[in-house]
Amino acid sequence: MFVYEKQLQYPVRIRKPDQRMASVIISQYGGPDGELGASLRYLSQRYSMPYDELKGLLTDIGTEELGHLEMVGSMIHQLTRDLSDCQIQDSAFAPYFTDHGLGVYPQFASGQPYHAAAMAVKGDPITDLHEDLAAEQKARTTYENLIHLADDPDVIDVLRFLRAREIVHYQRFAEALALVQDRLEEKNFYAFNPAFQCGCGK
Amino acid sequence: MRNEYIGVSIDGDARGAGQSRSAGCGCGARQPRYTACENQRTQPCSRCGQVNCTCQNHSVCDDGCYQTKPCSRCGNDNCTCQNRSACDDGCYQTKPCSRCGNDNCTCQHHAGNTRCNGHTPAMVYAAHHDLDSLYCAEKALFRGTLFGCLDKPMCHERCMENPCFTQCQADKFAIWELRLYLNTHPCDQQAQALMRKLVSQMDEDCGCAFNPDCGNRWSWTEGPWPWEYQHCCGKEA
Repeated sequence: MFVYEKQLQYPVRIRKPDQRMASVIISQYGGPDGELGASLRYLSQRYSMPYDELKGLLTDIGTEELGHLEMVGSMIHQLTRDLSDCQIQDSAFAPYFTDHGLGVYPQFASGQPYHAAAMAVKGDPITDLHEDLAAEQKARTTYENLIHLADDPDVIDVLRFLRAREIVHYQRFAEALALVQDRLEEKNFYAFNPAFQCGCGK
Repeated sequence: MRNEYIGVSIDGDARGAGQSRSAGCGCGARQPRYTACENQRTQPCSRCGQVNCTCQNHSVCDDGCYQTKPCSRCGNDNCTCQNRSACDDGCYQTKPCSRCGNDNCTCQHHAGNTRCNGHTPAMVYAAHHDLDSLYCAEKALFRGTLFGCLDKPMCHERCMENPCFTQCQADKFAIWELRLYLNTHPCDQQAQALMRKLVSQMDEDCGCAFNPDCGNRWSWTEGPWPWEYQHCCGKEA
């Protein structure tokens, strides 16, 4: 089950609202490589993992990504508070504002709503871990792109932290892959899918 | 054979097998991205003073270049053992490989594999790390990781100089980060001992802060909620 802790993993204190940044940072909320997709991917993949360490890791990283989702949502909320009408009309934020006001809605930066086609759950631990490795790199790159677009140190500080977490998650998934390799025959890792209880030869 | 595998030889010639000299100069001199730093391998690293320092990670060098210090497990100079769960049985890199007879062979069970480097085609392999370059909890939260070897900033990374969080937040982060490590290193005794230490530190620093039953009123719903902007730094709370 899930328990909520009433605190962000890393503080978000954005002194200066900036709706231009909000309209791109939304990508890490509900975009193809954002935190919603990441958490749903890991929390969904854990059911078909055959090894306890992987169930634990996917549960924990999936949970942490929900915390990051909250941080990105907090950024959007703080970047869009206290807007005056003339600010809204001048920015690329106007279409989002029309449909969502000052709400936080999971969508791509292009405006497309979040959809699960942005993630994969293949039910094979080697395949799913490779998906996870790629997902962490895509998230890292997206944060780097956002850091390049930002100029407010309050914003960059949070993006920098989130980017660092992606690198750590990448390392953990690589170690998880090593755990799978240790348990399979190295002459042919693909002889069977260990997620299937009745795999051939077992 | 050990040095050929790693790709760096002791006498200073960095053009070993498979060693790339392109992106990611880690020597601290300010180079544009994607340009190899010509000084990287032949001049002493500005952080640890080692010639041939291959460390790409700034923070590891604070404690000395880990690749040139003798491995604390097997005593070898250029040991690449990064701690696997196999290490429960002793660092397999110190025992001669029963197949190829090499001292630092990383293969454990490769029948007939003449390269004997522990890897087979059609798969990718992880580089492991251990607990050698740990940050304190506050620095860990600021940098986004407890492990110096995983601290990989962007070039010219701009960041806040005075981050604003409590010791309690920092302790919780360190515990979380160590938890992820223990998920993939369940037998690491050093990590387990550190976890016990961090937990008792956290109990001290966090106290009653998140227990909604303190006081006369049910306070769970009281603001501020975590996403709300607060003028005051958390430390003042």
